[in-house]
Amino acid sequence: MSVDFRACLYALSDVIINRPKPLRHFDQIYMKLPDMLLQAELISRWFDGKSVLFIGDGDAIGLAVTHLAALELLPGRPQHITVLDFDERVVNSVNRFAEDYGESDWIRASLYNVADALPKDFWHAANAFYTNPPWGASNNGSSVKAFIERGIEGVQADALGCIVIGDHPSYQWTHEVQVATQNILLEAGFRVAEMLPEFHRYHLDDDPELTSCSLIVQRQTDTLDDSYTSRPLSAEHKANFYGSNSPLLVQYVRDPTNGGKLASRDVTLERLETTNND
Amino acid sequence: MIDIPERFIFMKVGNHAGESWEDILKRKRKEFEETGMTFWGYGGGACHPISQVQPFARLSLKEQGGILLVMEPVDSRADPDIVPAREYSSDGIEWVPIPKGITVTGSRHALVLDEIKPGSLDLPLNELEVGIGPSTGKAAETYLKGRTDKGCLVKSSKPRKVEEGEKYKLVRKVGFTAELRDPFAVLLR
Ligand SMILES: C[S@@+](CC[C@H](N)C(=O)[O-])C[C@H]1O[C@@H](n2cnc3c(N)ncnc32)[C@H](O)[C@@H]1O
Repeated sequence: MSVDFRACLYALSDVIINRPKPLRHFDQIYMKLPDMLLQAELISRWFDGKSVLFIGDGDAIGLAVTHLAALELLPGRPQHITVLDFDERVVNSVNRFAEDYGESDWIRASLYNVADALPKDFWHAANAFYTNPPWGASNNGSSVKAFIERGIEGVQADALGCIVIGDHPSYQWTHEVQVATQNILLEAGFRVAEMLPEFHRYHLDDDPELTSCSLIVQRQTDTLDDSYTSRPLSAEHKANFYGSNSPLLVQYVRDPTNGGKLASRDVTLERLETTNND
Repeated sequence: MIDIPERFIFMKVGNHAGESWEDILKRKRKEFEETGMTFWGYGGGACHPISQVQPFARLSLKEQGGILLVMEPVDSRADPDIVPAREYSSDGIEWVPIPKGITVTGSRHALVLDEIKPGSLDLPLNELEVGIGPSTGKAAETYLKGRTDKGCLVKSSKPRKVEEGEKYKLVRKVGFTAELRDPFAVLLR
């Protein structure tokens, strides 16, 4: 398949400008444009025909895949994407974009905090999960664990996953978190099917060189206990959620503009002075 | 000279056109006398109050009983920002009015300080590294290059070797220090 780069970049520009302003408070640190294209291509191949559950998606990879696929710019496409995020601005931005471009059959976002039990509707429902969690530099991946476990709860026995986490040779912590991550996945019966090291960069103004990897994982089994066992996170887990001594205190980030429908209060306008000549 | 703490916050601080360091300190001392605390406004991606300064300070409180801000004064010709913040929040959820007597302008974040004191200290950046957040473990001299002018720093387990004659280039001259006090850092609006 030949790639029309200009068409891809136009489509991605529309996705990127639709992302709400990232909040460093919650480790919202967005992926940069070139890597979004490569990541979307990867996902469209691996998750072709699958129903996919995203646990958090400030980057808007779900929307990028959906939009590029709708324009027939990718080799494959997921059959459906569900995005769960605790930031209503992210949720609204996905749903509004999908409505505007007639892509609502392909993607839907809902409000959900990983501290809560996974709603029953999502339990063991999807064929694949995707997460780019808060990377947990100083808590040895406590937030990473929570996001991945929710993803695993959301998929069937035969399943794929994609985890995007820190990966840089100069940062020891990224490798430590990877070990913890792979342990969680192995424990749940997943093997690493593909690993793309140092694959993405971010809009991280104090450290633009920091990179992350894409870890594609796969579980092939027909047996899975289907009884619903999702539980809220423990108090201890919440106390060190974003890092040690960095607790999760927020249930939802609310969107006072209702997805850009209402005016933002971020700007004020000053009247042009009229002179006697006017 | 004071000793370099195991963990501390480093910040390059500029005076503003028209206001000398003596004036700033006098103003801040008055705020401290009236309210019992001082807000030091700042901005940028490094040292986010909630995801970085607060957890770093809490850890430091456990380990060494407190957390120090060390400031390297630099001359800046920037005009002072005039719009003062009205409210502050330590968690982004509850907002309260900024105490009467405290003025912070032109900043989205502020450190909450005790009295600011003159105190000299030479910081060899090659012996320090970032202590929290995604850049944990990054060499301080690399981190503080370019756009970043502050950081939550710790003594490095792997100090970088520097030629004797080059060392002075990596030394930052601290002129003022202040203890942070609970809630250590806040959001402003
Ligand atoms: C934390 S960021 C990780 C970095 C990623 N590059 C990004 O900026 O999206 C991933 C997403 O998780 C969401 N998130 C953070 N905390 C959450 C929570 N407790 N429950 C659900 N989603 C959460 C954020 O809103 C964001 O969209």
